[in-house]
Amino acid sequence: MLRRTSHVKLLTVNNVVFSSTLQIGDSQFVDSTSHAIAILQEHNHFSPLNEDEFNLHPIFYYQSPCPVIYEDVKMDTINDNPKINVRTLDILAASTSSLIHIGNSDHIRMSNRLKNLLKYDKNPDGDD
Amino acid sequence: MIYHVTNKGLNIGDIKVRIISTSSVLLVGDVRTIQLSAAFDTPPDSVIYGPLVPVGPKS
Repeated sequence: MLRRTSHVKLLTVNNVVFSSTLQIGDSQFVDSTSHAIAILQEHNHFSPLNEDEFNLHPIFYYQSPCPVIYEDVKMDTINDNPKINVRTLDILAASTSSLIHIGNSDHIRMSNRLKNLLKYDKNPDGDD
Repeated sequence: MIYHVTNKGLNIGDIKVRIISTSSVLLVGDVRTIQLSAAFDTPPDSVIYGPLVPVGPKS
């Protein structure tokens, strides 16, 4: 068991947005995922994004590159000083499924998939 | 494999961070295992030509 305690005297966070987490205290398991499509198009006609759009691009359905942990590593920790001291922690923003964690955790898994798209009305190279 | 760790004192002054973005972690503490993955696809490979068909919910 991880037994060190974290001490932060002053914590300042301005923004926590888009499914981000500010966790104060220990946790067992954190699993965070972010899927995003960013579209740039020529004209300013907004159309709502179909959820199926996520199934059109392989980036969203190929297998996660997270390796399987199979190594049997025995970890033995000696804590000479059972405290982690931080005087001040100043954060402007946490965004898109990110995590600010003060305290111990057993396992953390974070994943992000982002697809950028450019949409032209016609081929800018003039081929067709 | 046996992995020995001895944690001596850890005292930090001031941490100033602008932005923690897209599935990133800022951790003040200990963790046993951590896995991070990111996939990013950007033009020119993802250029789409042709008349713009509005994508809307299925009817």
